[in-house]
Amino acid sequence: MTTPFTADSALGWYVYGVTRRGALPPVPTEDGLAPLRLFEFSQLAAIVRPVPLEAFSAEALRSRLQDPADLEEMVRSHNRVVEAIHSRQSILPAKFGWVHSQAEDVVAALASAHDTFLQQLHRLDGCDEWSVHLYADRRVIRERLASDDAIRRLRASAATARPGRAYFLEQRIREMLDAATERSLSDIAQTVSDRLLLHAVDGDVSPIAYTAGPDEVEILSSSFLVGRDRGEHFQEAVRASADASEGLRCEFSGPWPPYTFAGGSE
Amino acid sequence: MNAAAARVQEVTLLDLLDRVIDSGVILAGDVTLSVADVDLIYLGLRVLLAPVERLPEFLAQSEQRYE
Repeated sequence: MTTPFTADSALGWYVYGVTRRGALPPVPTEDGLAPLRLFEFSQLAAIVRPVPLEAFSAEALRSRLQDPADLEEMVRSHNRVVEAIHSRQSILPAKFGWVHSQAEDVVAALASAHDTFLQQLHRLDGCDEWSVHLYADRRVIRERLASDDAIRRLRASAATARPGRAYFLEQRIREMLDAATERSLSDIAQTVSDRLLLHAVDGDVSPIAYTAGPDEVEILSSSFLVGRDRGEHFQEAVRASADASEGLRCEFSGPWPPYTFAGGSE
Repeated sequence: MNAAAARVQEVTLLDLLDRVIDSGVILAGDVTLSVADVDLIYLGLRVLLAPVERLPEFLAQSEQRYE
């Protein structure tokens, strides 16, 4: 194992997160990195790693992180530590990449937010985070709406109408279908997120509509906080929501440490 | 690795980046790395990995942050 330390290099404290005071569960060691330490205050402990400050100066990081592969590896390494702790006890993951130059600052931050952090840890006990993306095929949704009675009646009228009136009716049908498709997409997103929330403690849902492919649109990008004992139910519910109607597709990942929910309910 | 498996890995990486970089508790104090630095790099990486269709969204996000 190489050591990044020299006798005279000043140390900073890379913060992984906040947990309850006590022995840490085993965390895999990483080549070239010093062992983790705990800074404790009352019932809390911050999980930190001593790192050479010079390697984490703004300039050093800027040049290191130019390479996406380096950033990815730093993020993965951060996640490995958080995940190892999360698998055994509640953790409030810290925002990535924060290196404190003063140990006292970390302890002072624990002290000033002590009760809030404790409450947040309590809320996250036994929970995982799941990420869910829902995609809809706009063309399929639109075709389904086109078989609606009102649209079919208009179509029938258009077919027998004089050319001028037929043109007007066709335009009207297109507008109605456009509006109905958008409404339907946002209804689907709402229904799915409501249904998933039934299996979750909390949800962070952004209803969105951006084009993901020629006809495909992502209609939901969301995170859910789910009790570990409900994990299987939740995954079934995600699959079921995509299977419930034609033209829907979901992608999901997890279980994650509760990154999105570390800051408490907002 | 087939295309579907590659896509799953890519989604998982994006989900990981979104979570680790874009959320988490903040302990106040004297920190060496400015948040703007990380955010900027993150957005850069996000743009690299995002489907081409989403580029305008991320570019808009990045402009919003640095206005």
